[in-house]
Amino acid sequence: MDEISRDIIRNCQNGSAECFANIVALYERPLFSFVYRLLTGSHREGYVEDAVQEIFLKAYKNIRGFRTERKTRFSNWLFTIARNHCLSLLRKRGIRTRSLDDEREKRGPMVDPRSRNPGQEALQKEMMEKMTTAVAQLPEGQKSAILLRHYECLSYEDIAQILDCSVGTVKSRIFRARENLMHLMEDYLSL
Amino acid sequence: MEHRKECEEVRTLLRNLAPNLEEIGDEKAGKHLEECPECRAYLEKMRSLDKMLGLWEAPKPEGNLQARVMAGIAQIEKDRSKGILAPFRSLVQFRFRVPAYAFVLLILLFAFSVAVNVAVMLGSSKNRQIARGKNERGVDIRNVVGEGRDIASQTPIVIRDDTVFHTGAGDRTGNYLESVPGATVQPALVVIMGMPPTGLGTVSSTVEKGSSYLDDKGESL
Repeated sequence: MDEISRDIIRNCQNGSAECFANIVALYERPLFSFVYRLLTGSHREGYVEDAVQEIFLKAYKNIRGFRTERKTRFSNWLFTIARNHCLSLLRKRGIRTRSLDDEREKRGPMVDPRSRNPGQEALQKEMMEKMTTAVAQLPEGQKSAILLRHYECLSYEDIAQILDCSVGTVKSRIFRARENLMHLMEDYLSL
Repeated sequence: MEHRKECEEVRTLLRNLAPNLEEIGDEKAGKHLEECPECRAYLEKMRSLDKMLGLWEAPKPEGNLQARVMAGIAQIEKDRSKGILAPFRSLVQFRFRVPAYAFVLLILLFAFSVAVNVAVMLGSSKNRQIARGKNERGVDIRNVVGEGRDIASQTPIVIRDDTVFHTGAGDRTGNYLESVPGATVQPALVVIMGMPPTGLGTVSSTVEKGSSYLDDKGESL
Protein backbone atom coordinates (compact mmCIF):
# COMPACT_ATOMS: atom_id res chain seq x y z
CA MET A 1 0.00 0.00 0.00
CA ASP A 2 1.27 3.45 -0.89
CA GLU A 3 2.26 5.68 1.98
CA ILE A 4 1.32 9.34 2.11
CA SER A 5 4.23 11.77 2.31
CA ARG A 6 5.17 13.12 5.71
CA ASP A 7 5.02 16.67 4.34
CA ILE A 8 1.34 16.29 3.56
CA ILE A 9 0.71 14.96 7.05
CA ARG A 10 2.59 17.90 8.56
CA ASN A 11 0.56 20.34 6.48
CA CYS A 12 -2.62 18.69 7.74
CA GLN A 13 -1.32 18.95 11.28
CA ASN A 14 -0.79 22.65 10.71
CA GLY A 15 -4.44 23.00 9.80
CA SER A 16 -4.50 22.56 6.02
CA ALA A 17 -7.83 20.92 5.28
CA GLU A 18 -7.03 20.93 1.56
CA CYS A 19 -4.08 18.61 2.11
CA PHE A 20 -6.34 16.17 3.87
CA ALA A 21 -8.08 15.63 0.52
CA ASN A 22 -4.89 13.85 -0.63
CA ILE A 23 -5.13 11.49 2.31
CA VAL A 24 -8.78 10.75 1.58
CA ALA A 25 -8.02 10.13 -2.09
CA LEU A 26 -5.20 7.70 -1.31
CA TYR A 27 -6.81 5.69 1.48
CA GLU A 28 -10.48 5.85 0.56
CA ARG A 29 -10.43 2.55 -1.34
CA PRO A 30 -8.39 0.34 1.04
CA LEU A 31 -10.20 1.72 4.06
CA PHE A 32 -13.56 1.17 2.43
CA SER A 33 -12.81 -2.44 1.51
CA PHE A 34 -11.44 -3.18 4.99
CA VAL A 35 -14.49 -1.67 6.70
CA TYR A 36 -16.83 -3.36 4.24
CA ARG A 37 -15.41 -6.78 5.04
CA LEU A 38 -15.00 -6.17 8.75
CA LEU A 39 -18.65 -5.15 9.05
CA THR A 40 -19.80 -7.99 6.85
CA GLY A 41 -23.06 -9.43 8.12
CA SER A 42 -24.26 -6.04 9.31
CA HIS A 43 -24.46 -4.15 6.04
CA ARG A 44 -27.30 -1.94 5.06
CA GLU A 45 -27.72 0.90 2.62
CA GLY A 46 -24.96 3.48 3.04
CA TYR A 47 -23.72 1.86 6.24
CA VAL A 48 -20.12 1.40 5.13
CA GLU A 49 -19.92 4.85 3.51
CA ASP A 50 -21.12 6.45 6.74
CA ALA A 51 -18.58 4.48 8.75
CA VAL A 52 -15.69 5.41 6.44
CA GLN A 53 -16.71 9.06 6.52
CA GLU A 54 -16.73 9.02 10.32
CA ILE A 55 -13.31 7.33 10.34
CA PHE A 56 -11.79 10.03 8.12
CA LEU A 57 -13.32 12.78 10.27
CA LYS A 58 -11.92 11.16 13.40
CA ALA A 59 -8.53 11.00 11.73
CA TYR A 60 -8.77 14.67 10.77
CA LYS A 61 -9.66 15.71 14.30
CA ASN A 62 -6.84 13.69 15.80
CA ILE A 63 -4.16 14.04 13.16
CA ARG A 64 -2.03 16.17 15.48
CA GLY A 65 -1.70 13.10 17.65
CA PHE A 66 0.17 11.28 14.88
CA ARG A 67 3.90 11.53 15.41
CA THR A 68 5.64 12.05 12.10
CA GLU A 69 9.04 11.73 13.73
CA ARG A 70 8.34 8.14 14.74
CA LYS A 71 8.55 5.19 12.41
CA THR A 72 4.85 4.38 12.62
CA ARG A 73 3.26 4.19 9.18
CA PHE A 74 0.38 6.56 8.66
CA SER A 75 -1.68 3.80 7.04
CA ASN A 76 -1.30 1.71 10.21
CA TRP A 77 -2.53 4.62 12.29
CA LEU A 78 -5.50 5.04 9.98
CA PHE A 79 -6.36 1.32 10.03
CA THR A 80 -6.18 1.35 13.82
CA ILE A 81 -8.78 4.12 13.91
CA ALA A 82 -10.89 2.22 11.38
CA ARG A 83 -10.79 -1.00 13.33
CA ASN A 84 -11.62 0.68 16.65
CA HIS A 85 -14.47 2.55 15.03
CA CYS A 86 -15.92 -0.64 13.53
CA LEU A 87 -15.68 -2.45 16.86
CA SER A 88 -17.47 0.41 18.54
CA LEU A 89 -20.20 0.32 15.85
CA LEU A 90 -20.65 -3.41 16.27
CA ARG A 91 -20.90 -3.03 20.02
CA LYS A 92 -23.31 -0.10 19.83
CA ARG A 93 -25.63 -1.82 17.43
CA GLY A 94 -25.54 -5.02 19.42
CA ILE A 95 -24.34 -7.12 16.57
CA ARG A 96 -23.09 -10.22 18.26
CA THR A 97 -21.12 -12.75 16.31
CA ARG A 98 -22.32 -16.24 16.85
CA SER A 99 -19.82 -18.83 17.84
CA LEU A 100 -18.36 -21.08 15.22
CA ASP A 101 -19.86 -24.11 16.92
CA ASP A 102 -23.33 -22.56 16.66
CA GLU A 103 -22.72 -22.03 13.00
CA ARG A 104 -21.54 -25.58 12.39
CA GLU A 105 -24.61 -26.96 14.14
CA LYS A 106 -26.88 -24.61 12.27
CA ARG A 107 -25.48 -25.63 8.92
CA GLY A 108 -26.83 -29.13 9.21
CA PRO A 109 -26.14 -31.70 6.51
CA MET A 110 -25.08 -29.81 3.47
CA VAL A 111 -26.03 -30.82 -0.04
CA ASP A 112 -22.91 -31.76 -1.94
CA PRO A 113 -22.48 -28.92 -4.43
CA ARG A 114 -20.90 -31.31 -6.93
CA SER A 115 -23.98 -33.52 -6.98
CA ARG A 116 -26.27 -30.64 -7.88
CA ASN A 117 -24.35 -29.68 -10.98
CA PRO A 118 -25.45 -26.05 -10.78
CA GLY A 119 -24.34 -23.36 -13.15
CA GLN A 120 -20.89 -22.03 -12.39
CA GLU A 121 -22.21 -18.57 -11.59
CA ALA A 122 -24.86 -19.79 -9.18
CA LEU A 123 -22.35 -21.99 -7.42
CA GLN A 124 -19.92 -19.13 -7.09
CA LYS A 125 -22.64 -16.92 -5.66
CA GLU A 126 -23.56 -19.56 -3.12
CA MET A 127 -19.90 -20.03 -2.26
CA MET A 128 -19.49 -16.31 -1.70
CA GLU A 129 -22.48 -16.17 0.58
CA LYS A 130 -21.10 -19.07 2.57
CA MET A 131 -17.73 -17.47 2.80
CA THR A 132 -18.92 -14.05 3.91
CA THR A 133 -21.02 -15.77 6.55
CA ALA A 134 -18.02 -17.82 7.63
CA VAL A 135 -15.80 -14.71 7.85
CA ALA A 136 -18.50 -12.89 9.82
CA GLN A 137 -18.48 -15.72 12.35
CA LEU A 138 -14.75 -15.45 13.03
CA PRO A 139 -13.71 -13.91 16.34
CA GLU A 140 -12.86 -10.26 15.77
CA GLY A 141 -9.11 -10.66 16.34
CA GLN A 142 -8.87 -13.43 13.75
CA LYS A 143 -11.12 -11.60 11.32
CA SER A 144 -9.15 -8.33 11.44
CA ALA A 145 -5.85 -10.18 11.14
CA ILE A 146 -6.79 -12.27 8.10
CA LEU A 147 -8.49 -9.33 6.34
CA LEU A 148 -5.43 -7.12 6.78
CA ARG A 149 -3.11 -9.88 5.65
CA HIS A 150 -5.08 -11.21 2.73
CA TYR A 151 -6.78 -8.14 1.29
CA GLU A 152 -4.57 -5.27 2.36
CA CYS A 153 -1.38 -7.34 1.97
CA LEU A 154 0.13 -5.92 5.14
CA SER A 155 3.18 -7.42 6.81
CA TYR A 156 2.87 -9.25 10.11
CA GLU A 157 4.67 -6.33 11.78
CA ASP A 158 2.16 -3.79 10.45
CA ILE A 159 -0.78 -5.95 11.48
CA ALA A 160 0.72 -6.36 14.95
CA GLN A 161 0.95 -2.58 15.24
CA ILE A 162 -2.67 -2.11 14.16
CA LEU A 163 -4.02 -4.84 16.42
CA ASP A 164 -1.68 -3.80 19.24
CA CYS A 165 -0.30 -7.27 19.82
CA SER A 166 2.84 -9.27 19.11
CA VAL A 167 3.82 -10.65 15.72
CA GLY A 168 3.48 -14.16 17.18
CA THR A 169 -0.11 -13.45 18.17
CA VAL A 170 -0.87 -12.17 14.67
CA LYS A 171 0.54 -15.33 13.10
CA SER A 172 -1.42 -17.49 15.46
CA ARG A 173 -4.66 -15.57 14.80
CA ILE A 174 -4.24 -15.83 11.05
CA PHE A 175 -3.50 -19.53 11.34
CA ARG A 176 -6.61 -20.12 13.45
CA ALA A 177 -8.71 -18.00 11.10
CA ARG A 178 -7.55 -20.06 8.12
CA GLU A 179 -8.17 -23.32 9.96
CA ASN A 180 -11.68 -22.17 10.88
CA LEU A 181 -12.43 -21.03 7.36
CA MET A 182 -11.07 -24.25 5.86
CA HIS A 183 -13.29 -26.19 8.20
CA LEU A 184 -16.40 -24.14 7.44
CA MET A 185 -15.76 -24.12 3.72
CA GLU A 186 -14.58 -27.72 3.50
CA ASP A 187 -17.28 -28.73 1.02
CA TYR A 188 -16.19 -26.08 -1.45
CA LEU A 189 -12.44 -26.28 -1.15
CA SER A 190 -11.94 -29.28 -3.40
CA LEU A 191 -14.20 -27.98 -6.16
CA MET B 1 7.97 -39.47 13.95
CA GLU B 2 10.62 -37.65 11.89
CA HIS B 3 8.14 -37.43 9.04
CA ARG B 4 5.50 -35.86 11.30
CA LYS B 5 7.98 -33.28 12.51
CA GLU B 6 8.90 -32.39 8.94
CA CYS B 7 5.21 -32.13 8.01
CA GLU B 8 4.62 -29.70 10.84
CA GLU B 9 7.61 -27.59 9.78
CA VAL B 10 6.41 -27.41 6.19
CA ARG B 11 2.87 -26.54 7.22
CA THR B 12 4.13 -23.78 9.50
CA LEU B 13 6.12 -22.41 6.56
CA LEU B 14 3.01 -22.54 4.36
CA ARG B 15 0.93 -20.74 6.97
CA ASN B 16 3.48 -17.98 7.26
CA LEU B 17 3.69 -17.59 3.50
CA ALA B 18 -0.05 -17.49 2.90
CA PRO B 19 -1.52 -15.92 0.86
CA ASN B 20 1.71 -15.89 -1.17
CA LEU B 21 1.87 -19.64 -1.58
CA GLU B 22 3.54 -19.45 -4.97
CA GLU B 23 6.69 -18.19 -3.30
CA ILE B 24 7.82 -21.41 -1.63
CA GLY B 25 11.54 -20.99 -2.13
CA ASP B 26 12.61 -23.48 0.50
CA GLU B 27 14.24 -26.45 -1.24
CA LYS B 28 13.72 -28.81 1.65
CA ALA B 29 10.04 -27.91 1.90
CA GLY B 30 9.64 -28.32 -1.87
CA LYS B 31 11.13 -31.79 -1.73
CA HIS B 32 8.93 -32.74 1.20
CA LEU B 33 5.82 -31.56 -0.66
CA GLU B 34 6.75 -33.76 -3.61
CA GLU B 35 7.02 -36.78 -1.39
CA CYS B 36 4.20 -36.20 1.12
CA PRO B 37 0.67 -36.47 -0.34
CA GLU B 38 -0.91 -35.23 2.91
CA CYS B 39 1.07 -32.01 2.89
CA ARG B 40 0.38 -31.60 -0.81
CA ALA B 41 -3.33 -31.91 -0.09
CA TYR B 42 -2.95 -29.39 2.72
CA LEU B 43 -1.23 -26.98 0.33
CA GLU B 44 -3.99 -27.45 -2.23
CA LYS B 45 -6.62 -26.72 0.40
CA MET B 46 -4.81 -23.56 1.39
CA ARG B 47 -4.56 -22.48 -2.23
CA SER B 48 -8.26 -23.16 -2.70
CA LEU B 49 -9.09 -21.08 0.34
CA ASP B 50 -6.94 -18.23 -0.94
CA LYS B 51 -8.60 -18.47 -4.33
CA MET B 52 -11.98 -18.35 -2.68
CA LEU B 53 -11.01 -15.39 -0.51
CA GLY B 54 -9.74 -13.70 -3.64
CA LEU B 55 -13.19 -13.93 -5.21
CA TRP B 56 -14.69 -11.84 -2.44
CA GLU B 57 -14.55 -8.37 -3.87
CA ALA B 58 -15.58 -5.27 -2.00
CA PRO B 59 -17.69 -2.84 -4.02
CA LYS B 60 -16.27 0.55 -4.90
CA PRO B 61 -17.19 3.37 -2.54
CA GLU B 62 -19.81 5.77 -3.78
CA GLY B 63 -18.40 8.50 -5.98
CA ASN B 64 -19.23 11.27 -3.55
CA LEU B 65 -17.58 9.77 -0.47
CA GLN B 66 -14.59 12.08 -0.79
CA ALA B 67 -16.87 15.10 -1.18
CA ARG B 68 -18.83 14.02 1.89
CA VAL B 69 -15.64 13.75 3.94
CA MET B 70 -14.46 17.19 2.83
CA ALA B 71 -17.87 18.68 3.62
CA GLY B 72 -17.63 17.13 7.09
CA ILE B 73 -14.19 18.68 7.54
CA ALA B 74 -15.51 22.10 6.51
CA GLN B 75 -18.22 21.74 9.14
CA ILE B 76 -15.63 20.82 11.80
CA GLU B 77 -13.62 23.94 10.94
CA LYS B 78 -16.75 26.07 11.10
CA ASP B 79 -17.65 24.69 14.53
CA ARG B 80 -14.13 25.24 15.75
CA SER B 81 -14.13 28.90 14.76
CA LYS B 82 -17.43 29.44 16.60
CA GLY B 83 -16.51 27.92 19.94
CA ILE B 84 -15.89 30.00 23.05
CA LEU B 85 -12.39 28.57 23.25
CA ALA B 86 -11.62 29.40 19.63
CA PRO B 87 -9.05 32.13 20.46
CA PHE B 88 -7.16 29.69 22.68
CA ARG B 89 -7.36 26.76 20.30
CA SER B 90 -3.96 27.41 18.83
CA LEU B 91 -2.47 27.29 22.31
CA VAL B 92 -4.20 24.00 23.01
CA GLN B 93 -3.00 22.65 19.71
CA PHE B 94 0.52 23.76 20.53
CA ARG B 95 0.29 22.01 23.86
CA PHE B 96 -0.72 18.76 22.18
CA ARG B 97 1.84 19.07 19.46
CA VAL B 98 4.75 19.77 21.74
CA PRO B 99 3.91 18.26 25.11
CA ALA B 100 7.58 18.25 26.12
CA TYR B 101 7.84 22.01 25.65
CA ALA B 102 4.60 22.50 27.57
CA PHE B 103 6.01 20.40 30.38
CA VAL B 104 9.20 22.48 30.52
CA LEU B 105 7.10 25.64 30.51
CA LEU B 106 5.10 24.35 33.46
CA ILE B 107 8.29 23.55 35.37
CA LEU B 108 9.64 27.06 34.70
CA LEU B 109 6.38 28.64 35.83
CA PHE B 110 6.47 26.57 39.00
CA ALA B 111 10.08 27.53 39.71
CA PHE B 112 9.27 31.18 39.08
CA SER B 113 6.31 31.15 41.45
CA VAL B 114 8.45 29.48 44.15
CA ALA B 115 11.16 32.14 43.69
CA VAL B 116 8.60 34.96 43.91
CA ASN B 117 7.11 33.50 47.08
CA VAL B 118 10.52 33.16 48.71
CA ALA B 119 11.41 36.75 47.80
CA VAL B 120 8.12 38.03 49.18
CA MET B 121 8.63 36.10 52.40
CA LEU B 122 12.16 37.46 52.87
CA GLY B 123 11.19 40.99 51.93
CA SER B 124 8.21 41.10 54.23
CA SER B 125 10.12 40.24 57.38
CA LYS B 126 10.09 43.91 58.38
CA ASN B 127 6.39 44.15 57.73
CA ARG B 128 5.82 41.10 59.83
CA GLN B 129 7.75 42.76 62.64
CA ILE B 130 5.55 45.82 62.33
CA ALA B 131 2.51 43.65 62.30
CA ARG B 132 3.66 42.14 65.53
CA GLY B 133 4.11 45.68 66.90
CA LYS B 134 7.93 45.87 66.98
CA ASN B 135 10.28 47.96 64.92
CA GLU B 136 13.76 46.91 63.81
CA ARG B 137 15.10 47.56 67.29
CA GLY B 138 12.33 45.64 68.98
CA VAL B 139 10.45 48.75 70.09
CA ASP B 140 6.66 48.62 70.16
CA ILE B 141 5.40 50.67 67.28
CA ARG B 142 1.80 49.52 67.18
CA ASN B 143 -0.47 52.12 65.67
CA VAL B 144 2.42 53.74 63.88
CA VAL B 145 1.09 54.29 60.44
CA GLY B 146 4.09 56.02 58.89
CA GLU B 147 7.53 57.40 59.46
CA GLY B 148 9.64 59.95 57.70
CA ARG B 149 11.20 63.39 58.00
CA ASP B 150 9.93 66.83 58.65
CA ILE B 151 10.19 68.64 55.35
CA ALA B 152 11.43 71.87 56.84
CA SER B 153 13.81 70.70 59.57
CA GLN B 154 14.52 67.26 58.24
CA THR B 155 13.82 65.94 61.74
CA PRO B 156 12.75 62.32 61.83
CA ILE B 157 9.05 61.93 62.56
CA VAL B 158 6.61 59.12 63.02
CA ILE B 159 2.87 59.23 62.61
CA ARG B 160 1.02 57.30 65.27
CA ASP B 161 -2.71 57.14 64.71
CA ASP B 162 -3.50 60.70 63.71
CA THR B 163 -0.64 62.38 65.59
CA VAL B 164 2.78 63.37 64.32
CA PHE B 165 5.67 62.84 66.73
CA HIS B 166 9.09 64.32 66.35
CA THR B 167 11.57 61.72 67.35
CA GLY B 168 14.56 64.01 67.69
CA ALA B 169 17.61 64.47 65.53
CA GLY B 170 19.70 61.40 65.22
CA ASP B 171 17.06 59.20 66.66
CA ARG B 172 14.99 56.76 64.70
CA THR B 173 11.51 55.65 64.42
CA GLY B 174 9.69 55.13 67.65
CA ASN B 175 12.76 54.57 69.71
CA TYR B 176 12.69 57.96 71.36
CA LEU B 177 8.96 57.84 71.94
CA GLU B 178 9.18 54.50 73.52
CA SER B 179 12.12 55.23 75.74
CA VAL B 180 11.09 58.72 76.89
CA PRO B 181 7.36 58.98 76.42
CA GLY B 182 6.06 62.50 76.62
CA ALA B 183 9.54 63.99 77.19
CA THR B 184 10.70 67.22 75.74
CA VAL B 185 11.97 66.81 72.29
CA GLN B 186 13.96 69.03 70.06
CA PRO B 187 11.83 71.84 68.84
CA ALA B 188 10.99 71.33 65.28
CA LEU B 189 8.71 72.65 62.72
CA VAL B 190 6.25 70.31 61.20
CA VAL B 191 5.11 71.53 57.88
CA ILE B 192 1.64 70.44 57.08
CA MET B 193 0.55 71.31 53.63
CA GLY B 194 -2.19 73.84 53.58
CA MET B 195 -1.75 74.60 57.27
CA PRO B 196 0.42 76.98 59.25
CA PRO B 197 3.30 75.53 61.23
CA THR B 198 2.24 73.96 64.48
CA GLY B 199 4.79 76.04 66.37
CA LEU B 200 7.84 75.41 68.42
CA GLY B 201 8.09 73.18 71.42
CA THR B 202 5.22 70.92 70.55
CA VAL B 203 5.81 67.26 70.68
CA SER B 204 3.02 66.40 68.42
CA SER B 205 0.87 67.74 65.69
CA THR B 206 -2.48 66.54 64.52
CA VAL B 207 -2.51 65.05 61.09
CA GLU B 208 -5.04 66.71 58.91
CA LYS B 209 -6.45 65.70 55.67
CA GLY B 210 -4.21 66.80 52.86
CA SER B 211 -1.13 66.59 55.06
CA SER B 212 1.98 65.45 53.36
CA TYR B 213 5.10 63.87 54.78
CA LEU B 214 8.15 62.51 53.16
CA ASP B 215 9.90 59.35 54.06
CA ASP B 216 13.68 58.88 54.17
CA LYS B 217 13.76 58.56 50.41
CA GLY B 218 11.83 61.77 49.89
CA GLU B 219 8.66 59.98 48.83
CA SER B 220 5.27 60.86 50.20
CA LEU B 221 4.01 58.80 53.07
